[in-house]
Amino acid sequence: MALLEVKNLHAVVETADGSEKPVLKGLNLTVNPGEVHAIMGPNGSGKSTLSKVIAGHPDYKVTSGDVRYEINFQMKNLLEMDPDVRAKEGVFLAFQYPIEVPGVSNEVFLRTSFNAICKHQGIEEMSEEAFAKFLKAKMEIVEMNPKFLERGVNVGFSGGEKKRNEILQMAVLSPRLSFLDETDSGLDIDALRIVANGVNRLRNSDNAVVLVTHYQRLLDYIVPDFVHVLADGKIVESGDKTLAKKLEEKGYDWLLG
Amino acid sequence: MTGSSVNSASNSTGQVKSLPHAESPQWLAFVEAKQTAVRVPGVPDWWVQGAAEARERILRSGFPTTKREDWKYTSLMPLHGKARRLSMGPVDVRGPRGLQVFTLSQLSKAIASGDASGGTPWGSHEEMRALETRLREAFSRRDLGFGAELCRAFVDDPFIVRIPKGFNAAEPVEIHWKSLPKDQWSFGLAYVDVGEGANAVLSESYGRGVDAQSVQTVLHLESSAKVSHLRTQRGEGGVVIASTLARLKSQATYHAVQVASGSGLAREDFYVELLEKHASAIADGVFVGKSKDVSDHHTNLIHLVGDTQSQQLYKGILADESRGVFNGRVVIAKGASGANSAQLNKNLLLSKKVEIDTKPELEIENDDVKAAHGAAIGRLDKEHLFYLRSRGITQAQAVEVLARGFAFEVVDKLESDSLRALGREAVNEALVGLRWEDT
Repeated sequence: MALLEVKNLHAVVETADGSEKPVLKGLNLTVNPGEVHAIMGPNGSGKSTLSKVIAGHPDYKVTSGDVRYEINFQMKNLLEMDPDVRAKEGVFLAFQYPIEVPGVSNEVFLRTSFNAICKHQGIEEMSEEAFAKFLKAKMEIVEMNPKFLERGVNVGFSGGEKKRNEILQMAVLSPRLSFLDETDSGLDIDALRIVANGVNRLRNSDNAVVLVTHYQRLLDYIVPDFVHVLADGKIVESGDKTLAKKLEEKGYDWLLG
Repeated sequence: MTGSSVNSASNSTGQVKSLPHAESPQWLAFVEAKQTAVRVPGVPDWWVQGAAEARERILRSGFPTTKREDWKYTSLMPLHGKARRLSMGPVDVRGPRGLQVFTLSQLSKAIASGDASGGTPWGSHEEMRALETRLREAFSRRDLGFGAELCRAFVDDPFIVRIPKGFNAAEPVEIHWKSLPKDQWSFGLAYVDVGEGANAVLSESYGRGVDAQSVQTVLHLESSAKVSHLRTQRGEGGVVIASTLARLKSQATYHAVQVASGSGLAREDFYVELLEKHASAIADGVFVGKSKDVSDHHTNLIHLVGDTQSQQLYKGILADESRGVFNGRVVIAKGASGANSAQLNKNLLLSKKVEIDTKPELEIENDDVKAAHGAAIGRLDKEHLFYLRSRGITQAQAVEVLARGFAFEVVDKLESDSLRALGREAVNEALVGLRWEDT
């Protein structure tokens, strides 16, 4: 059974002048448990939009098509769920530009989020003490300094630290379906290695990862099962990891022409 | 809490006259009746005389109206049309060992009865006479707002918290102004006298369960004294008109944080006077408005001499149809070279129907100073909300988390662990049921 099925998805975004601009124009994608997909494509092709629509960003409106997500062996309509319900059901988005939340410590944020999900899934919520221990182990996955727990969420974090913090959240929340939106952008080679190792350690046969990226570089570290090219709001080509190499060498023009 | 504990240091003296409309004949009748009030034994003549004068002034001018510049955003009309009994309200004072709590009448009696060598229970005659002089000076002031004027008029016997020289305790000194049964307007006055080099944390609360309440706290900080002061105004729909004055001598440091919420109508007049060089003050606050609350904050940071510092961060969170006022007055007197003042007011608006009036008021009579000020008004950022919601946090919870973060920035500056915890608790309580209306 698939984890995610996207069929003929059309979506629009409201622009500054109040008009609606089509951004997804008939997108199809199926993701099975245990798989890693990479979505590549030129600027403005709709890569980030797809992640946001899946996570339920209020600025994007789905005009037609279907997004189904497996919950308890049933394919449920994901689009009917509030963003927080999607998260509670195991959908995760690592943001391209993680938001700073001053005054809310990273640890409190993580605990609030973790316990909200526990509550939804009928699991006992964790005490402060128990969570601190649990968190310590997760921090090691992304080689994060404990001092970042005291600070406001993403406040005063460098670009790379913010991205690492996203993966820490992923580690804490153990999602079943993760969209990583340009998690590699702005990372130096060491940070890229740490983030990629973190993601690899979190992979298992029950969850799936969708990498949205511009660069083939990330795929040297997180090896995808499938590579898709997104252009003008739909997937125009799919293949295995060799497709990414080909794109690196030849660019997108041969596909778009 | 260990050490001395004084419960209800002062209590109701049983004034049971009602307070009608300020401009009605009944109001006159009330104030006249109060002029013949029973005098608390031992209270000095100057106190009784000053109270009578304050009553006369109130009688002459009535309640301030919105025609007055300093009351233009806040109407006292909600006080009209309802008769209230006026009483001096009860108060709980407690604190660590070494703290001294007594009333003005007790002080006067001790000064009058003790012999020159024996002193008083709290210190030498000389010290106590000096204390009475300071108290008299402070309570003769007429420029501290209507709340102070009301307290001066209707408090029969103020109480004194003496934090002596050398006092140093991490445990808070607590002053909790209690409520009286419905349909009463309670008044309270405290004079907090902090000795040279003393180090104290002070937690004051009022507003809870009150129908109407006016309290004034005056603090005197001797040289090098250090005081952190949390003022929690936690109303439950009632009216609060409060006033605070802190006077700082050389190298004294004062860190005040106000957390105000829940009162239907609240007016705070807050004064800090930097009297001598190297005195420094932080005068921060958070106010939260819900339903149709009005929360009015007039602050006054007064640099009377040079080489003094003041810093201010005031944050307003307004929801539903509430209104907030921040009037931040900063005075740098002539000759106060090297004074340094920074003020910032930030407001978070959670509905279209709220109103915030924010105004800096700088009176600077000297060139060689720094005085910065700023005000910001913002709405909840949808990207912030979405970020939290994408992490499984419901919209209502996300609004609360973001508002809490906004407010904690103010209380988290408190150095004292116990005071910071109390400040956070006050913020958490203030934010319960906070609603966001998508704008």
